[in-house]
Amino acid sequence: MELLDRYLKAVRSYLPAAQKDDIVRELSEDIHAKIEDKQAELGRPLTDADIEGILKAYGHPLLVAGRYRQDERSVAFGKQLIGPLLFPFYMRVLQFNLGVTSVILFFIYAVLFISRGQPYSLLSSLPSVFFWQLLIQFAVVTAIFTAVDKHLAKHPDRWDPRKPGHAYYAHLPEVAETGQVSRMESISTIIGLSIWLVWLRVMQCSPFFILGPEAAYVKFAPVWHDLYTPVVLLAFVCMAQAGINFVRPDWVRLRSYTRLAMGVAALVVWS
Amino acid sequence: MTLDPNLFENIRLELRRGSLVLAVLAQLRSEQYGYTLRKALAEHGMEVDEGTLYPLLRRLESQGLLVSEWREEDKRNKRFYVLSADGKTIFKQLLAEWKNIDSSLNGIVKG
Repeated sequence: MELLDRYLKAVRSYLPAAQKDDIVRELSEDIHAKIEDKQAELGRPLTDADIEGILKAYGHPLLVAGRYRQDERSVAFGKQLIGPLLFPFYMRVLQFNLGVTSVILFFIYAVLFISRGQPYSLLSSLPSVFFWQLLIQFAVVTAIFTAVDKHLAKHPDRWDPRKPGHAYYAHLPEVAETGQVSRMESISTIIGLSIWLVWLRVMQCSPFFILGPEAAYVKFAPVWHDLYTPVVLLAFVCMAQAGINFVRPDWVRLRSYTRLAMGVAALVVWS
Repeated sequence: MTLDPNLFENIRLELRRGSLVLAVLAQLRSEQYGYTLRKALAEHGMEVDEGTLYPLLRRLESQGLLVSEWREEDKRNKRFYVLSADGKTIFKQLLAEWKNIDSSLNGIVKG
């Protein structure tokens, strides 16, 4: 029943806090009843494969949990981009990202203010810098969630209850690695690293686009120039692995070896 | 203009959504737990998946139309649902409304 426990934990992690225990208890009871029915029908105890089948039919943990949120809001520009099932998670990620961005910008401006003074010129550039940063965050998060929403709507059954590296199970203990590398994970890796590389490049070559007029007063320490090339190379290796695993999701060992190599390389770079 | 290929399915789901509430309320005139309720609905041709049924039961309970309690049966703890007093009243009203709609619709379809 390890698979069932993992499944229920995954559902639980997406549920509204006040109802977690009660909902999971009822879901658990329902799935156990299904398992008993299936056992009676087959006349033998169920195998892991049978239980996998029941869980897949039950639905993706994110979608199962989303139905309990009773939040009918969605994001639409003409046509719907992010449906009610993903909307609460979209809002959480957006709020988190905007919060972190605001804190970072506040920190940068505080340092500039302390080191330079000139509060009027600083304050005059603040609204446009905030606006562009928040707009970029909004666009990126919305684009990613739109892609996820489309993927889940098109392939609601394309997920694997056993998959240890799956993003939805990343926080759970691993089961024997017999599955495939999720294509969703590969796409997320490529998108995430691409955005980060663009940000890093812009920050290095044209910091004005990120920091506004205050960019003139920000200088990278020499160590960042030394680290830039190895860090970019490591990111490209990760993207290459994700690209290969997108085409060949069954090459699970490639991801394991790449992670190991990346860990060693990162240690060498930072030391 | 090309027809949305999901149009029929979307309208069908809308139609079923309203009917499902009535079916659940009707079935819960006698006490049942989720699994048997779903099976009973399916036996009457009203297939509903768990992802729809359980959130619906919670919503109806939070609206005061159902009451539930956890109880042990066959060595397992199960949550039993039944219509509340308000639920019985609302169900009668909804059933009357459904019959009106049905009769109106029949008249309209027959022309």
